[in-house]
Amino acid sequence: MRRCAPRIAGGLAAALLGTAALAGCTAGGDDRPLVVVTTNILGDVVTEVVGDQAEVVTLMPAGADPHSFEISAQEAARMREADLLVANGLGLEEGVLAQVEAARADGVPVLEAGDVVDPVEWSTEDDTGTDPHFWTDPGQMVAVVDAVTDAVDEHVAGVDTARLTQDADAYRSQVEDLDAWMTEQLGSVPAERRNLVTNHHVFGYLAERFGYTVVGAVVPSGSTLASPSARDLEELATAVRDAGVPTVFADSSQPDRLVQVLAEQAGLDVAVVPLFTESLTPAGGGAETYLQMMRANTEDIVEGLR
Amino acid sequence: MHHPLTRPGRRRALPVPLGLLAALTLTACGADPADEPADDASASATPHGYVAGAQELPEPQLQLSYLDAEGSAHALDLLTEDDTELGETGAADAFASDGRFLFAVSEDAGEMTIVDTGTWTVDHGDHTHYYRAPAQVAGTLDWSGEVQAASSETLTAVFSPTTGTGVLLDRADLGSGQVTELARIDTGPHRGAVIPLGNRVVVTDPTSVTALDSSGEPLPGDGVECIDPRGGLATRVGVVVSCADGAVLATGTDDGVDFERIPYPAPVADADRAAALDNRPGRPSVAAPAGTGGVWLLDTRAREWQLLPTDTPWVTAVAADDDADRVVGVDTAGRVVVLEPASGTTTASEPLLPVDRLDEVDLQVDPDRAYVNVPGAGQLLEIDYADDVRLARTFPTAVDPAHLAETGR
Repeated sequence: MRRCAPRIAGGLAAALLGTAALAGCTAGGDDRPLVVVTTNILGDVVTEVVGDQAEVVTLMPAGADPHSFEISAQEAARMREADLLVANGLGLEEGVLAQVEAARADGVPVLEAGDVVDPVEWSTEDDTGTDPHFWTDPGQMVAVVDAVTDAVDEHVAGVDTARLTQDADAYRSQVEDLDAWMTEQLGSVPAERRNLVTNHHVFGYLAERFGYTVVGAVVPSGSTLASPSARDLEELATAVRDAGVPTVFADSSQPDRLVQVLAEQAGLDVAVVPLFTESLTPAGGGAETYLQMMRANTEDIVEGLR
Repeated sequence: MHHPLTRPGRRRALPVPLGLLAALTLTACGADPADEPADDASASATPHGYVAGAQELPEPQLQLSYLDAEGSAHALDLLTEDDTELGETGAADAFASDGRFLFAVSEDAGEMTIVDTGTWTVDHGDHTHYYRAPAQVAGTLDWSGEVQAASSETLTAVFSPTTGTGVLLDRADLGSGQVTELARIDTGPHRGAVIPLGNRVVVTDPTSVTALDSSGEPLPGDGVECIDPRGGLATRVGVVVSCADGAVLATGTDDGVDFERIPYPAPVADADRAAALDNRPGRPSVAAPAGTGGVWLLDTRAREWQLLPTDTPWVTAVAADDDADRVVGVDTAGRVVVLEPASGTTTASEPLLPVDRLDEVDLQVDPDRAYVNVPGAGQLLEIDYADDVRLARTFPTAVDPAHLAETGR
């Protein structure tokens, strides 16, 4: 029951899925002012705030990888014509960073959402950095909604401020509702079980906000699971036992086999559940909007830990 | 220190699509083959990406890529255990791999054939991405003699100790089926090394180590003396080269390359030198047999050599650099052997390998398992080296595995 759509590199996914935003782009645009957004999560948020007062072009296709999607020369040219460019920042969209900088150098106003959030840091054995995945905390997204509203009002000519304020207020209240609902839902999990044993690397902000602990775990590879030893599962089994949880939130190529091997080799009865992480899905994928993605993850976390 | 340079024009070999494999991949609907993210880990601002057709997957797409002496190349998928034909390279007299590409030299044809196995890994620091794309023959290069191969994210270097010729290739182009020479480096026949370090390259001649830029131009600053080099290797820390009196470690800086000497703890006889440094890719430590009495372990992060005695002579030693700093090897009795430095304990498998063909055995070590080809027996073996050297899986091969490389990592 994997819910993550297979991730496909940008161009092909765009060709296959033909997202509305890209279709607008390739059609050559319309007479409205133009707001270009890098990631599809922010693309959804900006579209909700702007309404139909501007054309919103989202560069990252549904189901793609925000770190490495790339854009066509035509899309790069549209970026440089934009009235406003909205990016995630904090080093997330490495594949389009040079084009963002080129647009900025051309005088395109750029809003980097990462600049208005309260950053969380990550560290490994020999490296550290700022976590760019702020959207897992809707409280951070409220600040982004406000920043987008201000930037559109300031930089996008022809937008009616009253309508903008009305649309932004309506969406902000939906994000605030999400925030309140997540607070209640995630707070319903017993405190001693608020542990996310996971190989996803994006839930640092969610954990920080809602009082959860991310227990990073290496999930044994499918090739190891073919002929496993107890040692292969030791790290994950220890993490699960120490965390005292019945669910591992992980992407695995063979979740059923992993469940079986954990039972046989480590005597553990756990479920393996994937979460949505860095991209919205195509229609029907279960995470078509930011709000839907967050609600689906929250439901899975609560159900998995309760 | 002198490197005569020739810089030929961009050579574009036509990609040879492999219909057989293309049919097996999900995204092979006439899309271009995968490109390689061109990213220097030290400069994440460099844009990177890949051409449509690459599929991202939740775990490494590990394959055992193997060839017979006639150059029939196959890949065994470690997840599905399916065996796929990669293509024909012509007689494979010499062989090397960088973890994605295979380099097979046909002496009669006077050329090297480069095969893209179509699976690879990109390290983003706090997390990793795994990709799969159709395999293909990327192209050929005129070549003679042995071959060593090594890659960074952006550069691939091949070197012939036999002729002393090194060629620097654009790795992104290689990933899209184009052989683009960036530089040619001729240092004369010697057992040296040409190894990328980010966007630069570390190069030996018979008496020194120097650094060049990606177009083959020397970087400012002096190299360092290295008498009689015996190969080198990339580690998590930098590039390490074996010299008569120890190792030279090259590390990247903002504007060039720094060199440090890591001398042996005491003078070492020529026969006991660390001449074939090997490690689990991406780890700081490297290992090599130390003559017939032990193995060398060099931690390039601590800048420290250790000489570890062994009960039997080892022909190969690979630093697994895991939780117990294990060194995995093959000994002269044809056994897979595992040494734990802290206790000095060695664990050995049963004899698994033909003792008269040990020079053809390629030992590959990843975080979980080790793999060897059994020349003449048509088998590849999967060894759980941390679980009592347990034989985990045995895979029959389609052709006799004269050469082996684990790819997709």
